[in-house]
Amino acid sequence: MKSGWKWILFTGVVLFQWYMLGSWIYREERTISSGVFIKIPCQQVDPKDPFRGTYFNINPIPAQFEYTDSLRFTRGQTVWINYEKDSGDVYTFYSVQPDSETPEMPVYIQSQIKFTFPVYPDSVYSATLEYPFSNLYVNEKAAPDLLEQYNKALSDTTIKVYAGLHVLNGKASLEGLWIGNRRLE
Amino acid sequence: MKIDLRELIAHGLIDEGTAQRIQQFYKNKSRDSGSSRFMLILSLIGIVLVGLGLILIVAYNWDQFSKWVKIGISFIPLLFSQALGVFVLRKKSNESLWAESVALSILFSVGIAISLLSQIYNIEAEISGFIKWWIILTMAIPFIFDSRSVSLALWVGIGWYLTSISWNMDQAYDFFPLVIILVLMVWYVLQWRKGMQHHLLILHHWTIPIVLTIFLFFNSSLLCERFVVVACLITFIGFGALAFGPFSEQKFLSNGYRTAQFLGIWITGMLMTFDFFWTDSIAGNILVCLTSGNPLLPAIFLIALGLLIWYHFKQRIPPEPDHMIWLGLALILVLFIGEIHPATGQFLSNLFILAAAAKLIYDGVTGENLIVVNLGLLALTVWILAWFFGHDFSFIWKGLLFIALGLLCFGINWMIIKKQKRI
Repeated sequence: MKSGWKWILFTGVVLFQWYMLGSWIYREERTISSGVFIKIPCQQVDPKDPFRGTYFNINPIPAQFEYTDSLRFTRGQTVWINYEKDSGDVYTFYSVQPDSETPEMPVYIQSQIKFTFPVYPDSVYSATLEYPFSNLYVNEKAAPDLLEQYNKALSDTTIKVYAGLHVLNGKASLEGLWIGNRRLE
Repeated sequence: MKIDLRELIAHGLIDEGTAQRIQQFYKNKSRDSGSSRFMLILSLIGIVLVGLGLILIVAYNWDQFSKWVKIGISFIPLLFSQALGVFVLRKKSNESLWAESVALSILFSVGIAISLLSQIYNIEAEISGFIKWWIILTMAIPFIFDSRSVSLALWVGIGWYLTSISWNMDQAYDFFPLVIILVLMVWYVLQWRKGMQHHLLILHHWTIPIVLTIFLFFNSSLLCERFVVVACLITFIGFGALAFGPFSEQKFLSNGYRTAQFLGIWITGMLMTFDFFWTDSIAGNILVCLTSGNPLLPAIFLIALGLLIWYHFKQRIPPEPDHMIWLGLALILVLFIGEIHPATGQFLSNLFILAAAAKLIYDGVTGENLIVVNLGLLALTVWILAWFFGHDFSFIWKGLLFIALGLLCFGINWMIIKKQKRI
């Protein structure tokens, strides 16, 4: 390859790298600044990632939903998860619908169907949801303290856990984890 | 031999241009010398360690910074390595040590930027998504810097990606691995013209057959269950064509395709000797696959098989030392015969596996090659072990056969060593 082509390719690669990484920042910042802030109920565990540090695994409720029309949802399909306002900034699950339809509620998150399977053959089907956010990263130094706070809070079974999100046009940006009214930080 | 170039020019034996070319040749040769290679290896290890160290230290301990400072820090290594890239392209483009170092540093700085951004915004939770974007953003680096180390890292990355995603058939086909493999393969084949012996390229000769085998299984959802076995055998025959075609002059350790084709065909053949492989329900499966399923991929494999057979005859590749290509072709035939009569298929599989092991032992004995003899004996032992544990024989028979096999190993090895000493 002649060196002129290398220069063109290198310039293209550099621009592409900055464009892609920059577009992630733009997308997230736009969602954070213009989106609605909501808190949705969830369950969680605490694994680790070799590259990106300690994180809480966010498991929003519901993990799956039931439906009757077997042709309505398929594996890998993009869907809207609709939420209705509960109290304050807490929102609860309302419905799931294919992304080809207009969302039923003003607050909705774009997600995917992970699996579908029959619960009672020929009558009810179940589908598991793959939410676009699943990890909340925390600082290594702060992690033990956060885990302690988290475990202490969970000893009271009446306290609910919420994931705080900014939502804009179906895109969601994870802000943090709340135990009851207190943010974990 | 020391040559005084000025003397040769003075006597009119060579002209000034030839003298310059000779000087340039020895200059380039010294760059590829042992100490230069050692420097290259040390530099590459150093960059890998520094890259990983930066990811670990910065990402885990930056709680006190604001978000925008964190984003700035994420981009500093990328900016620095890209600036270094400009310098290398301008001033050091012919020096492999510089080119490899800067290419690796760009690779890691992109990895650092993705890691840190995904941590800051809690995005790209799945490791497969992380690897995918890392590969997409760096796949042109081997072409720009002629970097074997980044190409190798990308091959490893694609293998990692393939093992971290689901291979289910009811999802849309993921074209990403196919595209990346094709792109990287172009670069790899272009490198052959420069020689196949570079140490980092030798690692490619081992990594690529492994990744391609994983890729084959990734695509298995596009093939019927039974045709996957045919596709495996065709792929391994393809490795054989490479091993004994373009790579025929390579030493054993520089020719991963040879080991891949041997192990691949042998393991597939061994699986074909078991009872579970030949249940009556499989009859007609391949035919149904070819007529009712998606015919594109099976057609591609069958055309590839035709081309491979043509290549073998055209290149007049002699029956190679381990005969695996011929065993592979025989096993494909057996699979089609087994479609009509599974019991015959199983019988023929056993027969061919046994014949291949016997031929290896025979060739080893006649050629007084201990490696080939022991390879044949090992193949025979594995076949017997598998066969005996799959069938109900009395322990007396099992014991006697193992003793016979042990004596055969001792006897043949002793005979060859004695013959070699006599010579």
